Amino acid sequence: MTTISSTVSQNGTHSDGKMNAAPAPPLLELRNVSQVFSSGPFWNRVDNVAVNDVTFRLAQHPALITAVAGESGSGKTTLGRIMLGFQTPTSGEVLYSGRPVSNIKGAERREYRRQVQAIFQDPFSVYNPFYKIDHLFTVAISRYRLASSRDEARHLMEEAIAGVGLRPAETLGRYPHQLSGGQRQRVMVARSMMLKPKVIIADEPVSMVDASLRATILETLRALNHERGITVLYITHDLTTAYQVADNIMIMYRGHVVEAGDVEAVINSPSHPYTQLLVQSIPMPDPNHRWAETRSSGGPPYRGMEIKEGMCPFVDRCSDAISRCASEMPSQYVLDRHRFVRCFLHQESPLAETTEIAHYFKSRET
Amino acid sequence: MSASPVLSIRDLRVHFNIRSGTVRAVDGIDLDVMQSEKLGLVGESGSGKTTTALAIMQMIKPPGKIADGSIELDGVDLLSLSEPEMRTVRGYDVAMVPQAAMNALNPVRRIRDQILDGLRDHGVNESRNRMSERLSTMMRQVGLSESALGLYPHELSGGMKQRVTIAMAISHRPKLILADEPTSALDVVVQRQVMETLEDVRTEIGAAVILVGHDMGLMAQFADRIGVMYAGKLVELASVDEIFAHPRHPYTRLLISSLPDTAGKRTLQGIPGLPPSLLKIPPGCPFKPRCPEAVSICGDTTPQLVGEREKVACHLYGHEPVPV
Repeated sequence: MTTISSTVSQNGTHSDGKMNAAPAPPLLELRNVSQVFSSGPFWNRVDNVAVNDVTFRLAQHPALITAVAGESGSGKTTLGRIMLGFQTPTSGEVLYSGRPVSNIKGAERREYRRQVQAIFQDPFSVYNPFYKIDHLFTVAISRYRLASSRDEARHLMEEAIAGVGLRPAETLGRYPHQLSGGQRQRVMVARSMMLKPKVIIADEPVSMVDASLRATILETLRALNHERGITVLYITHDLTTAYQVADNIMIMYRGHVVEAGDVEAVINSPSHPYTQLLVQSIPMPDPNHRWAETRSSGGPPYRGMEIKEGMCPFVDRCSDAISRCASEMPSQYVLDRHRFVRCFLHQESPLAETTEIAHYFKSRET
Repeated sequence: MSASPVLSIRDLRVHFNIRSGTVRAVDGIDLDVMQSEKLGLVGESGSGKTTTALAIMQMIKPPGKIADGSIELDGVDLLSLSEPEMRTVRGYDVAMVPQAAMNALNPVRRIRDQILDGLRDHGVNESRNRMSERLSTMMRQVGLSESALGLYPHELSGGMKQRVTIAMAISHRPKLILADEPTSALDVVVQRQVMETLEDVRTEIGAAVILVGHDMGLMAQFADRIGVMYAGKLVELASVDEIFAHPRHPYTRLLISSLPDTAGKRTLQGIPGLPPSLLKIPPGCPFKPRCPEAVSICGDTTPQLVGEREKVACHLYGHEPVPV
């Protein structure tokens, strides 16, 4: 059992002829994944659907950067945690190289853990203040047996740290509190990089970092993708950085992916009223384009409506809502090859043939 | 806009005396804020922007102290006031909207009781009806429903909590509101709503606002004038249009060019290097080690903030250097 499946996972990278018939399965795949969080006492259970029936393939080739955007509580972080295997979804399947993640055990699980790396929001709480920065690297090196000697380990660490634009001599041997927030976040990127992963899932990696350092960290992520072919899932609420870094974007609202596709199209001509609201709320660094010019007039017709399953989740905030929105969940309407939207305002457009999101993604022109 | 300043800061210095030396968190600032003006104070962490705001409120905690300078609010020298006297100014004439609304509210008391505490503490004691009328008005001003008064902080969203702190800040119709990154914990849609609420109430009571933050996008949306801080000093001070159209200081230029926008993809350029340690500020211009345009004089002489309407502290602008 173990031997067969390990060949499969290797096939993801080098096709050695045995699997020619079928294309290699995507690195990570979500099939109809839902995550429900229940709270409250048993007589008054409240279900909160954080992720609602999402089908999505994260391919290794071509290596792209995909942004997941939405407000707090939209389910974007939960989606990332499910892909990292930190969370077993309530329903649906998560596949890694074509096999259910829940069945992957032992050495293979370790391989999955190595290939799917995470970078988190808070560069302060991921460090143990009692250990030097080196510890973060040496633990990973020994766990994944990346080096056979001390010198080799040292070399790996230095290479990774230099790779994110830090000076190894000024970084190694220090304690976390001696580094700035931006440096710490770059050390986290360096650690991920050292493990030569196939995917990096970065959950708000720059939201706690000073504006002047954001650019540097985002450029590092972009370089990892462009130069080393690492697929990146960039989870954020900041549409401007998503636009700059990502190739494609998924907009989440209350667990649903309401609009997805080519990032330029989605942000420069948003189709879903929620995406429009997000784009209009960006604080543009331009005093000639102030919010006041786009201040909305008129209230949503279904304001205050209780959102239930089987209606558009945005109906209570949407100024353009029609009666159908309150009685039915919109399907995916395809606007063009690289975009779909879940909104009845576009019901004239053709229905999507597949609910799989990445089907509509755009590859990068080379 | 009236021409008389509501706030006048001269040569403000805030030092933190710690075992390893003196941290010069604010190192000589001159700043005037006009009546009902919206001033943005930007800079990276540790540039002294929050410390400046706290100094105005006289809320610098030991080992920090105001080492020198003067702060005049509407003609009153705040630094000469005793603590009991300052208490009649704080919250009255100058109020603060804090960064983390979740930490600013007492988790075990209802919103109504917390606001009432604040009012009574400042000697407002009216009949029960008048008070409840007053509370309803406050809630309406910040776009909250009256029912929010009966709730506990954990029952409110982040944006609602921040509106409550705005309501509390404006309850005495202050002349000056200090808003320290009031939306940094909120996402874009809520951020816009909170900033619009702040703008509405500000217009209503005619207060001046100092918005402290590092988000240049937010500054562009809100401020009339922007002060850029670096290593405890103001390095540029100009109208928001001038700052964005013609940034003068190399730091301001880098800050603006590092901003992501949605007008086309490009390589994002960060600012190389790190700000200097405030324990040992190098001689000369504090930005010199990171400055792509530094010349030899930058290493010896600290540039002063000079200029008529647009002020900049940089040797590139041909002002007479002032020796240290």
